[in-house]
Amino acid sequence: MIVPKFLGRDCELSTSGSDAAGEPIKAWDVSRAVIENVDAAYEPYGTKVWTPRSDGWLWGGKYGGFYLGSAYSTDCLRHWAPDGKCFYVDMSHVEVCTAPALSPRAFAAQVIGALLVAEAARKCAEQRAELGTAYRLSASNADPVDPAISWGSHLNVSVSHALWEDLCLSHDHPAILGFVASAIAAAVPFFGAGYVLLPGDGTARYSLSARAHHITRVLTLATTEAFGRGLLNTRREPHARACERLHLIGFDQSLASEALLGSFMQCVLAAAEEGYCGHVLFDPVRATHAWSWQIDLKSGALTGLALLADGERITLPAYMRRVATALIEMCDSGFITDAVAPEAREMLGRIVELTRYAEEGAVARLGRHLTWAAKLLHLLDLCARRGATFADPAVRLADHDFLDTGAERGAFWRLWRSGRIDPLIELRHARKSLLDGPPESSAWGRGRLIQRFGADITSVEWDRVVLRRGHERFAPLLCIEMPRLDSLCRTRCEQIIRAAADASDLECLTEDASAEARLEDPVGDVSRQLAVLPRGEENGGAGARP
Amino acid sequence: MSVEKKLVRRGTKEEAPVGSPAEQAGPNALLEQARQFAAVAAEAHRECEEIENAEQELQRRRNTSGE
Repeated sequence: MIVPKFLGRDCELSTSGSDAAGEPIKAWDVSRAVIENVDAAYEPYGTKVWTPRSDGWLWGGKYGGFYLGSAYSTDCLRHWAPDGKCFYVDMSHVEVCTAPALSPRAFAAQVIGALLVAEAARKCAEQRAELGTAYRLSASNADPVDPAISWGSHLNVSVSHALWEDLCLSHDHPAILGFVASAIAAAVPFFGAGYVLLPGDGTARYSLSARAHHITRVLTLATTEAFGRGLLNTRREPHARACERLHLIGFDQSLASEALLGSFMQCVLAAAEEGYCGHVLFDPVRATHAWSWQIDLKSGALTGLALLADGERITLPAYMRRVATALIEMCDSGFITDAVAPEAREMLGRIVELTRYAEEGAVARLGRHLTWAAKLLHLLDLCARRGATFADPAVRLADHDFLDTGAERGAFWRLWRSGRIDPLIELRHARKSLLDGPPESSAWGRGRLIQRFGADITSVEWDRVVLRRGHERFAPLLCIEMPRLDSLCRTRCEQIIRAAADASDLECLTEDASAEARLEDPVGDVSRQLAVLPRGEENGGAGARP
Repeated sequence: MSVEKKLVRRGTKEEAPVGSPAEQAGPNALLEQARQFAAVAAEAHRECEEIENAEQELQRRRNTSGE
């Protein structure tokens, strides 16, 4: 069964700062200062964020309330935004989780919008800090000095329970795992953000992906182990009961190609849910490395070769074109529909076009939609102007600051303004996305509840909002659950939320209309049924377990 | 060619990493693209004091591991 492929990003940002004396400020202090100003960042839009009390306790205090996590834990200070995003601190980094979006362009708007808010909060924090204090945020996900230090900007895609268990637990269909791992192995460098890699021998190398050197496994549970991350990750954090959320940790935050990457992965995973298992690489991890690290810096040609399972050696552009073409055929034949992956034909067509440019060495054309290409040209020009090499500190600084959230520092923003980069949305779309969550997503309803009933809300989670039915301290609670990622989409809840005078009028939103249909499998279900229903239990428990 | 022979070839000079621009002096088509792409360079590059103290600035950008 193919489920709609909602896309989300955990945008973990490079977080640093310096005081008036130029001394570095601890990342934790920078993160706290920035997160404290997220509310101020939304003020120009006339909306407010919702957050639990900063001491970790909700109303009622330590002896009568709800504990929501220490302000000193690794993941804390959650701020739920009116547009469906969530801001928090994760391992001392500012992090934004975007609202789930089905449209790749809406996803791109969410990601870029998240950076706009983060930058506005950073500016507010800097203005309120001691004179001379500088805070810095960047969408770069690798340390500019130590390549062992990296942090995630994970891509999340909704998948069926069956596919998630197949890929991450049971491996019933290893060929499907092979296809998905192979497609990710190609997408990681193709949609990479670029990174100057310093192997430690005095040389410098340009890597298409800033994470490739950390990817050394096909599948891992751990996410933070240096040089030990997987193409696929088994972290299970669904944001709704009806589907799983595949956590893909190998991707960079590639602002120029968020829409293309999102669409590509929607289609790959939809194809996998249909049982597609073509184009399997012999060694997907090695392919990620070969394709990331082998670019001819005279011609711009991507020279790296990887081995397919049938023995053929193939370049990254050729591989991407084959997969994208196969996916287009699935769109044309109706296997992949707009309801699952909207705009797929257009996005896949653009990817095929980019593979042609890559084979021609037309890197400037690639740079319109691929961040690594735009950054490479930017750094090469800087090298030429300064007579420098990639190892020069000024070039490495330019590498790190390329995706700085500040429009005056991040070259990405200037190249976008000049038309050299085209993320397939305009800046106004990203700004507009800050007013409401994507209409096709539960984030829309959650955001509207926060906007209208923020004072009555006692807790917010990805799959529920809890409100007091009155303003009294011990008023009964109303829990609005969101079992599906579209439970509170605009068409379902706009009229109800708009017409509600108070939280009590939201009762009808608690009705769970999410009955799930499940196909019976007369072969595969037998073991499960035997395990779930011991003999006699179905007859009232005569032979039930004690 | 058999898969085994192809496997033997993996990791040979054919897959050797390509060096930095300074190691590849000479006519350079990519550099020409870079010049044109960065025609907005006067605006796109930060020819400011910060870049002159790049080593110091790099240290100020240091991060901790995360996820």
